[in-house]
Order: sequence, then C-alpha cells, then structure tokens
Amino acid sequence: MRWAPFLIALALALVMDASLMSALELGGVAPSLVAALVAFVALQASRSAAWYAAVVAGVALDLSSPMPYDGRELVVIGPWGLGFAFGIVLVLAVRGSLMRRNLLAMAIVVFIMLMAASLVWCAAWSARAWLPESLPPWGDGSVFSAFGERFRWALWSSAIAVPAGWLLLRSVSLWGFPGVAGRPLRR
Amino acid sequence: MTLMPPAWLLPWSADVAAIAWFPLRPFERALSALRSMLRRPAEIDSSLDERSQRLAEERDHYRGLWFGEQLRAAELAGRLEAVEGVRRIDRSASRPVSAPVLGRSPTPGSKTLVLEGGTDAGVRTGDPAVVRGDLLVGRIVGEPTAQRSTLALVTDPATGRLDARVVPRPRGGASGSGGDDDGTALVPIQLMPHPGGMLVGEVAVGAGVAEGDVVRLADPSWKRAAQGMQLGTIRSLRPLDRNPLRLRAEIVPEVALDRIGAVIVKCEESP
Repeated sequence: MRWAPFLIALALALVMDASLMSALELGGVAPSLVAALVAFVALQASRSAAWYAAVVAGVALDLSSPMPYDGRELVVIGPWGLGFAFGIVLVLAVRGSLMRRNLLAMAIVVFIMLMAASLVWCAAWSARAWLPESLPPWGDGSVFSAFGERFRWALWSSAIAVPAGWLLLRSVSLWGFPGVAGRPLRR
Repeated sequence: MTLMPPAWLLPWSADVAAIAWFPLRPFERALSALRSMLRRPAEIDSSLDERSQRLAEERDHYRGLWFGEQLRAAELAGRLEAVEGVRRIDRSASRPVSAPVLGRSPTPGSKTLVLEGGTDAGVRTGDPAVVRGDLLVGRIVGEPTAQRSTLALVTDPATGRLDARVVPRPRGGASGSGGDDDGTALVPIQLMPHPGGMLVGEVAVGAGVAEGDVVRLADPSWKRAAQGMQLGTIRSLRPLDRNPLRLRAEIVPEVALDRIGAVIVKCEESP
C-alpha cells in the first residue's frame, strides 16, 4: 500500500469529521469518515499495512479529542489507538469471508471495527478512572450509556460508509494495494 | 500512555495535538462555512427576522448583565455586613468578540469546540462564551493560540460543579422577569453536568421553584462576565427516592450547544 494517499485521505477525513460531518448529526452523533477509510484499507491492503493504518487513524482520533481538565486541555493518546488496533484484528479475522469490493461489506466492517474499538475505549477510560484525579469522559454517568452512544455512532457511520466506500473504490488504483491493476475500476 | 496520570500528560500532550492539527486548520474554515450552509446553526431562531433577532439578543444581553449585577449587589451586601470597610470594587468590563465554530471532536460524546478567535482578538483562558445575548455556552480552556481557542461546553462532565440561582417566575399572573424586584427570591442550586447534555441539581420542596423557571450562573470560580448568564430552563422536577423533601431538577440549555455555529466570547479587559 502507498502511504501518501492514505495520509492525505486520513487528513481530509479528520478535517471533514471535525468540521463538516456534524451537519449530518442524528440522535446526537455525527458519522465518521475516518472509520470508513480504515475499513476500506482493511479490506484491500495487506494485513500489516491495514494494522498500521488503523493504529495511525486511532492515534489521530485521540489527538483530535481533547477534554477540559482543570482549565487546561488534556489529550490522552491511546484509547482510540488501542481500540482501532483491536478492531482491525477482528476485521482481519473475518475479511476472508467478505467480498472486498462490496459496499455492504464496507458497512459491516465499519460497524464491527467501531464496536470493538468502542469496547476497548470504554475499558481504557474505565481503567483510567482508577487513577487519582482522572475523570472519564462520561463523568458521573454510566459507562453503558457512553457505550450506547458509540453504538449509535457505529450504526450511523456504517450507513455513511456505503457512499464513502463507493467514492474510495473509484480511487482504488491510486493506493497500490496488492493485486489491484493500475487503472480505475469500471462498473 | 493510555494509563498515564493527567499530571504527566498535561505538560505536553495538548502541544503534540496542536502540532499534529496545525496543517489541517486552514481547511476547517471552509468546511465549517459549508456545514452552516447545509444545516442551520442551533443559535439562529428561525421564527424571527434578522432585525428582531438582533433586538432579542440585545435585550437578553442586558438582562444577563442585570442579573449579574443583582448577584454582585447581593454579594456586596453580604460583605458589608461582615466587614467595616469595603475594598475598591473590581469593575472590569467585558468586550464581546464574535468567534465562529470551526470544528469539534470527531468522536461522539466530546463537549469541546474549536473557535476561530485567539489571543490576537483578546481571547484568554477562562473567558465565557454566550449565544443569543445571555445563553451561556461554556468557557475557554487550554492556552489559546493567536487565531484559535478551545471552548469547553457547560454540559461537559469535566466542567465540574456549577453554582447557580433559579429565578422563579412570578406566580399568580404577574408579569415580569422574576427575581428580587418581583418579590421572589433567587433560589441557590448546585448543578452537575449530565452526559445527556443537561445539568442536574437538587432543590428543597417548597422553595418556590417550578418547571420552566430560568437558571442563571452565580459561580465565583467563573469570570465576572459569566455571572448572571442563563444556563437553561428547568425541564423536570421530581422527588428524590432517597429524600422526598428534595427535588431533582433537570436543566436543559435553550439551544443545542453542540450544534452552534458561532459564539460571542466575553473577553475581560483590565479596568
């Protein structure tokens, strides 16, 4: 896999998630294009490239999720990075049974990966709550309500992954995936 | 790094994030403008034309200031009773700075917004931000850069406890905006942000509080410009199971704070 297109697409997806996707907010959650990008790479790239791409995307999400802490900004690097690393391992385990260029497969992969990543994210923040003066993002609420919010996020993101996946599949020849000819897909 | 204590992360992690995001900031402006075109920001009242909206904002702004001064007068009266002399009163003024919302965290549940407006415009850490004149949105956290700042919403669990006053509406058909001048006392309440995007607190039964009453900030840990600003209205009052003599109040902001397109930052100026 060529890394330059991935990094450019990741930067674009991050900016769009932060600035534009809230226009599509439904039930308090906005869909994620970063997840669609990672799912696309997970279905097309080699196992090691897919894993590294997921970790980079997860860390990028961590870096874009500051939380206020005593009047300052606290950025915890790791919860989404670990979550995406775990999620991609699950996806790689099942991708042999999926059609790699099917848009429905993209949606399923996004859902599986985000649910697995959210599980790790909740576990990581629950573990952090044991540290002195560390407050989880859900405050005095329940971790289950936070997980429920991420369930809605995964559902909505998987729906958006269908049009996003269609656009990404148009560009498949640029990415240098193994076994893909250097010309655009024709439908 | 995931399990590092906050004290270890604070000195450097926000700087790393700022450096990583630096090349992406220019694109945020265009995309946030596109977002405003696709979906109307929550602070815009579609039932009012532009002129009426400005007038309503101005009215709410001065109403907020009036409540702030009312709280200040009550505080000074308390001080006068306690001490013989009165120190010189801090009369710092606030200067409004309009700041469009450029972005927010791409992950769900986050209650911080990135604003276009930083130290060049006079924005400082702790400055409060409002919409529609006196609806408090949150306050600036972290170190603002020359052009950007981060706003933590009042509904963010990390904001912690908020001291506030309930402004009971005059009962029995009288008109007015409530408060001491209407013969009704402001009721103190301590609020905690709730993950559902609201604030919750407790009041005593018989305190004269009812659903629909407005709640305003009266918290000395916030800057003066934030005092008296509106936090929201009481959506429900229910008796607590563990103490039937107290009521659980749920306060909801009048606009969806995470769908705001622009805020007014009240930058404090030195006297």
